[in-house]
Amino acid sequence: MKLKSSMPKAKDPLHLLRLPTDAEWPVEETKRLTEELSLAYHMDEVACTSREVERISEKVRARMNHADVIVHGI
Amino acid sequence: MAAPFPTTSLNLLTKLKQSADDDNWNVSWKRFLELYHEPLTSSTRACYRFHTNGHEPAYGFIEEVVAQVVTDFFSKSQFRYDASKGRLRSYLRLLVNSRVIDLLRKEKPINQQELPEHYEETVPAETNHETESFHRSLLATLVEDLRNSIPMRQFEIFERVKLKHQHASFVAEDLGITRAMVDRNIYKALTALRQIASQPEYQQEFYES
Repeated sequence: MKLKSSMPKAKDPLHLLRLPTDAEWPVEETKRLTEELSLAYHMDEVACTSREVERISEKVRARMNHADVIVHGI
Repeated sequence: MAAPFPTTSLNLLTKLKQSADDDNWNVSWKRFLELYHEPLTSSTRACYRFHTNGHEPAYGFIEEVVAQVVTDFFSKSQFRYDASKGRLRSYLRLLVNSRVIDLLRKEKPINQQELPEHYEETVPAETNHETESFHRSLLATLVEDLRNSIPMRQFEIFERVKLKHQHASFVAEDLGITRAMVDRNIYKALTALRQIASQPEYQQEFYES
């Protein structure tokens, strides 16, 4: 049995996006890439309803309104 | 005067990278925050640790930095992003680093030594966590670009099967189409995704250093 440390490391599936668009994608790596896309998709879904993002949004909004006041002298 | 209406549809990443040259921002800052708050948070932590000999920032500190970076990025002031000078992510890290140092100076956290007046604003090397976070945000941007560039039905099939992990047969039955049509739509969506990802904006953000 191979030791874990001597096993070849799985290639980062993102490298597929670097291949020419007509090159064939290996099935296993394509599966891993769509898995990464799915994780990113869910991260985005969570961010859209996240309280943390909402709190930061309030701060950004306040700063932008403040900048408007300075720029336009409202 | 309103900005001229674009003659070709630009992808989201292109819009983000070109918006500083336009009269109007093409991407809402809220959407940008949703997509990029994770790498911005990760970079804030990394920069804070770097400048404070390994201390952890408070949540409030992180939120202040991220809010200031987003405001700066969309402010059209001296913080304009110039795509010819490098990657968007490098620029964002530079902004984060400056804001972390500003806030450390301003707030002087109780457990931190004061930064010297002429402190060198060295940007720390990108951590693995930052790289992974940036990649995830880029992939989310890619999915959004895909949604905007293929037929709605095709995206729905791709989304349900590949992103939400619904069974292809279930989706076929639910939509009243054959399983082969589901597979064909997924193939087409993946082909479109590859074409979007092959654009220089994505290639630069994913692979160039």
